Order: sequence, then structure tokens, then C-alpha cells
Amino acid sequence: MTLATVSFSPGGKEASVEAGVTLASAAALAGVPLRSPCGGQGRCGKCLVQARGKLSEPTAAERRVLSEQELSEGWRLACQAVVVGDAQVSVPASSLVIEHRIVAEGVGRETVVEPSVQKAALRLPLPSPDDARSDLTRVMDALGGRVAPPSRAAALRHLPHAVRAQHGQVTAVVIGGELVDVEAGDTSEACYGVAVDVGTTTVVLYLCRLGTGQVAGVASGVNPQAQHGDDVISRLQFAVSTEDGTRRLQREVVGLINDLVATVCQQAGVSRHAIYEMVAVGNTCMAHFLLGVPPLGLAGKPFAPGFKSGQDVGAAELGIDINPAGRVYMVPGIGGFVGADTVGVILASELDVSNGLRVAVDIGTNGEIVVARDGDLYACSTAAGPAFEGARISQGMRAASGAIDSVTVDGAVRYHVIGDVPPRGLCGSGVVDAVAELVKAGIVDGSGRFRAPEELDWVEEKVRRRVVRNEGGLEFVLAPAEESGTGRPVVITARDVRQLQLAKGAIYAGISLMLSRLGLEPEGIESLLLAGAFGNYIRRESAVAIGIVPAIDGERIVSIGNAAGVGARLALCSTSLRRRAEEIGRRVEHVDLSQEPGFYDHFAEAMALRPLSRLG
Amino acid sequence: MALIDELREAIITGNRDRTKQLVQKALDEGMTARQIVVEGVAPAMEIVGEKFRANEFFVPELLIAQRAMKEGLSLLSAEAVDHIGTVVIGTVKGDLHDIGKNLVAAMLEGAGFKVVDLGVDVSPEKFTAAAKDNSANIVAMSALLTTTMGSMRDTIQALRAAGIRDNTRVLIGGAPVTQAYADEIKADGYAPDAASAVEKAKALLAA
Repeated sequence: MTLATVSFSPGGKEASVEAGVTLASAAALAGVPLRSPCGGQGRCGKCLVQARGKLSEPTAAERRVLSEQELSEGWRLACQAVVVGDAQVSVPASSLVIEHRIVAEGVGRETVVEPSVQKAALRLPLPSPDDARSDLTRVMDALGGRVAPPSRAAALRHLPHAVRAQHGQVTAVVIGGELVDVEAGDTSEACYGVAVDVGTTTVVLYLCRLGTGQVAGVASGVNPQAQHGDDVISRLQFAVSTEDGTRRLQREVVGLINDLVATVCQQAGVSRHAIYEMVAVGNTCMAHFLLGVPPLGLAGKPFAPGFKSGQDVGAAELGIDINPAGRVYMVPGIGGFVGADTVGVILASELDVSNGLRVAVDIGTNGEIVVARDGDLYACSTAAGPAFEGARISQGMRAASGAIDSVTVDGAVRYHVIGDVPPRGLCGSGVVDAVAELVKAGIVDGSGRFRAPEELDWVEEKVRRRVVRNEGGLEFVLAPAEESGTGRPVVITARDVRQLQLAKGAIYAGISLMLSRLGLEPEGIESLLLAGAFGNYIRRESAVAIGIVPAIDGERIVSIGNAAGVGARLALCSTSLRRRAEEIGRRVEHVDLSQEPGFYDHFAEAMALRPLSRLG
Repeated sequence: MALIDELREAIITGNRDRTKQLVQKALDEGMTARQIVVEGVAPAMEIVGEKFRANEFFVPELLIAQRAMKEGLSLLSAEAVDHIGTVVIGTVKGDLHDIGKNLVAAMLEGAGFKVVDLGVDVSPEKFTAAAKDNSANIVAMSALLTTTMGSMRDTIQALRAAGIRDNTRVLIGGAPVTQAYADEIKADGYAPDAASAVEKAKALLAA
């Protein structure tokens, strides 16, 4: 076995690896988060690095993506280049997974705060000649018999010291009706929990004061599993085909959660030992990975999950760095790929108790749609693909600094860039806006066809000359090279428009099929809730104009932010809402769209770039 | 406009009724089924394919053109068409995605192939039996999930085990599939989209 040292700049991180691993794996080991939208297949070219040292010859995939000139300058695709001996790698910022803008606000549901975690400050009489009760009996008696004795030895081990440390002043920690620990002194104020939304792309974590339900801190980060691909299918593939794959995915996400816990603790000046419970939501795959359950049944039809009910497990068992006696509650899922995050959305938006026809759409790589009719609930997932996250778009990027996030095209072209820096690409809302504006301006027709400059004699010259013909076909220049942050123009191409059509066609077909199955009309929707980060940034007018959602009154369309995360917070702070979540998980009817006849027709029709209503 | 030009136009624009009328008229005027396919349907679908590749047409336009084409072909008996080859096509085991596969099947039909569509979730055994029964020139497989594409390799092995691998070409496609993957599993061809699939299939037939 030959060990090689691979160093990464800037940052100076190093990894000592066996010869034969890819630069991407070495980067992961060194803690350098490289982008990998295609899952390391050498197709997307986003993990570009410049390397010196002993590496394998360029692969066919690299020769396709890189020019001779670039290869001679040492540019490589990290997912393809294999370490032969020591190497030095320079990583351009554009190849790093970067922190992006995250929605951490949302809707709320009024509830009585009644967390599963209870702390009781007790003053115990110290043992005396006529009172030789055991320490445990002393605590149990003081608690008044409503609590089950501990099932872990650790609680007993802490007990004698705690009782004697401050003259009998102790705090009993009770979770779910069981005594789990006894702490010395009165620590009843230090009672926190965390709620975490484990997204395929982004993980958001909230620190909550359990006594009041207040949020004391928020932190978020990019799910490090992204190095195995952007979508859940690539990760499933990794989990089932790699030795120890599920465990590696589990360790990666737990590592991030622990970092986020440390961050929020620092923000709020709280010890991680004061955190007694974590409540998690996430899609079915994320739930499996968090608990380390191999998702074998999800890899092919009929997509049977390993579990779907709510799970209550020890935090230590998962390696979650909170109080060692703490618990982790995984919110239940619904069925197929529709998971706990959708239960969270329903919980937060009160769809389970509302009247009339309401629809919630979580627009993401996997779109989830919930239809609520007088409290009857139906949910489906629809594979929109990652276009809404900016992936598979030629100059797509996540909603991070440098991303164009909104566009107007009238007499001139105007755009807004996140972070007020020169633009480097487009994020999902920018793509939606750009396409909606090009359709409005007539540069793209309702079928999604780009019109050539010669067909556009009625368009103002300064806009028309932005329509250019390239090897790949027509494209529209949003920002010319001299305005951009990359030295190249930022464009949206004819192919990008097609990618968006596929993504939004899948979402709309999902909404349309669900409604038609229930014999309902889109016009009857009383409120349409857009959940998720994308839902918050998208312009409603654009979403309606190009038919991502049905053409209803703008006032009836409401962005509800990270509702899944809010749902997790509610389940953390209220045991009755946690029971409600269990009930929702059982009650929602999961609709498998792939089994639905007519999907094809709805999908094709839903690709039109115009306001849409009933299809079929 | 000559009848055959009108027929092409009707297919390209997806006018179903018109296509049917024109095919009937061509038959009444004494054109053979083979002529109608070779001079009318196939060139029309070729143009549709070109427009698709140039991003001028997309899935909906492709779909309506294919529906018009099928309507026209329904008037022609299979024997009279004299197909250029037989393709057995399906989405692999465990995978239920059929939109891409349907587009490919229709394009092949439009190009003059006899197409035996096995649908979705097709096992290696089913592919092999159908290839045998139909003396297929080509087995075409589609997969949309990285988790199911491994079944393509199994099918190729099943064809070999059945002793028909040498006279059956294997063509594969689908979002996660690449040329490199085709090489790895020793498929004969890979096509990135429905239009290229026709070209590839014709080339495989000639090889």
C-alpha cells in the first residue's frame, strides 16, 4: 500500500490517501467540499481543479470537457483524476460548494408548549439514620410517581454524586415520561432542543428554548452528501452499491449537524449538554441516511421504505453531539419518497385542519405536492430534477453570492444579483424569471422555442442583439462579458429553456393529475402555498405566467418559507403536535403518479410556457 | 403542393385527421404502403427529429407529430410496409419511466422499423424471449435511474446465454446512461436522445 499526500490550496488542507483514489475523494477527506452535481461521472465539469504532481492520465471524460490547452495547464476533473503519488491541487472558488442563502423564516401554528423534555428542580432530604432510602427512590418519590425509572445505567451512575454535590438540590431530566438523568443543582432553566430540516441540498437547524418554544439560534449548511450527487437517486445508488455507503452518508450528515449544533450553541451562549432532544424532518431517503438504515427497497419499484413511522432513538446511538442522555425523534413519513418534510409542511400550514381546497407545493429537486380538501389529505412526489436548484442549466448555480435571482426584459434588460457582486450565473428563481420575461417579450414562444434574431424585427435593437447563435443553438445574453464576474457572458440557452420546461412540466402535471383524480378544478383552489427556499424567492407573477402553478389570483398564492423546518420545531415543542404528526403520516393518502394513466399527456401539455389551468 | 408533401406537412405539424385523410388518398391513388412510408412518413419524421435536436421542437411537438404519424400508419398493413428492421424496446426492470422510451419507439416506427414495445419494468428474460420470438435485429433499452441501469448488463448477458447476442445489436439510452457506460457493458450503441436513436439504429442495422 502506497500512501500519498495531497495538499489543497488555498487553505493548505492535506489528506494522506492510498494511491488509486480520485482527487475528489482526497478532497473530501481533507475537508475541501468540491461540487459534484453529476455525482462524479465526469459529465458536468463543475469539480474543475488545477493539479501538479503524480496523477493518472486524463480520462476520456476529461478530454471531452477540457481542451488540450487546459489539460497542458494542469486542469483536471477531480472526480476523474486518480492519485498516483504526492500531488498539489489548487481549487478555484467556482468548484467549491459554497454557503448559500437559506430561508429560515416561515409560517407558524399556534400551539401549547408541552415538550417531551421536562426538567424538575428538586430539593431532596439527604440520607439520615432514619431515612436510608436509596438515591433513586429519593428522586422517584420526589417526582411523585408519574415518571418511569431510568432504562440506562448512565442515569444511575450520575445519581449519587448529583444528590450529594449541592445538599440535595438536583434537577431531574425526564424525557417522554422516563427519568433519563439527574443533574446537580438547579439547572431547570437550561433546557433546549434542536429542530433540523435535513434537505437533499441544505440542512437547516434551529435551537429552541423548550420552555417557551422560542428560537434561540439558527444555522445552516450544505449537505455534505452532495459530493455523491445532487439528487436522492445518486445517493441511493451510492448507499446501495458502495461498501459501507449508508454508514458513510450517515456520518457525513451527522458531522454537519454536529457542526451546526456547535454554531447555534455559540450564538446563544448555551452548552450542548443543555440540549436534550433533536427533532428531524427530511425526505424518505434523508430519514434513512440520518438513522443509518440501508434504503434497499427505495432503489427500484415498488419503492418500499425501510420504515415510515416516527422513530425515537438515543442521540448517542446516532453520534449526535447533544446531552448524552438526549433523544432524537424522526418525524414520520407518508409513503414512497414523500417523507417527514412533507408531514412538517402539513403540520406547519395546518392543512390537516383546514376547510376548502388548499394545495401546498414544495418546489425542489423532488417536488412534493399536497392537496387538502376539507381536511382530507393527498400527497405525491414528482421528479422535477434539479433545474430549480440551478443544476442542469448551462450557467446555473445555487442561490449564492453572484447568482442572478431576478430578471426583467422590457426596453432593456435588468437583473438583480445576490450579494450585489458581478453576476456569475443564474439560480432557480433567476431562470424562472428570465424565461417568463423572454416569453413575455416574445423572444421565446409559448412552446418554448427560441425565436431567431431575424424573426424579431419588432423587438428593440438593443434587446434583439442579445439573442445570439452559438454552437448549441440560440441563447440570450443576460449580462455581457464585461459586466460578468467570470469574464464570459451570462446567458440562458435554448436548452436551458427546455430543461425548465421538463422541471415545471413535472410539477404542474403533478398538481393537475392530483386534482383531476379528485374531480377538482384548479380554479377551485382557495389557497396555494409555496414551500421551500425556492418558493420564497420566486416571483408569483412569473410562476403563473409560465405555468409552474395554476393560473389563480395572485393573492391566493402564498409563500410559506421553510415550512418543513417549522413543522420540526412544532413537533419539538409540543407532544400533542407530535402525536398529530404521527396521525398525519398515517392519514395522508400517498398517490403514486407513475401509476397514473394520463401522466404522459398531462406532462406534455404542462410543458407549455403560458398560464395554465385544467389540462386533458 | 404534391400529395406527398402535404402528407409530410400534416405529420410535422401534428395534424392527425389530415394525416389520415392524406394516407387514404395516397392509397386510393395507387401508392404502395412502402412508398408512403419511404417517401412520406420517414422523411417527415426525420425533419421532426432534426427540429427536436435543434431545440426548435420539444416533447409536446414530438408527441403530436408521432400521434399523427401513428394515425396514418394505422391504415397500412404491416406486411405491405416491408419494415427495414425489427426493434424490441422497453424500460428496464425496476424502472417505470417510459416517456423517453415511448418517444424513441415512435421515432423508430416513423423511420420504418417494426417496433415491439415491451413497456416498462422489463426483465432480461422478457427482453430475450421477445428478441427471439421476433427475430429482432436490435434490442433497445432505456433506464432513468442509476439504480436500475445495471439491469442493462444483465440483459446483454441473458442475450448471450440464449445464444442470440451475435445477431442482435444492443442500443441503450436514458438520463444516467453514457457512451462510457455503453462501452463498459459492451452494448453496441448509445443514443442521447430520440432523434439520434434513429440514426444509431440505422447504423447498427448496416453494420
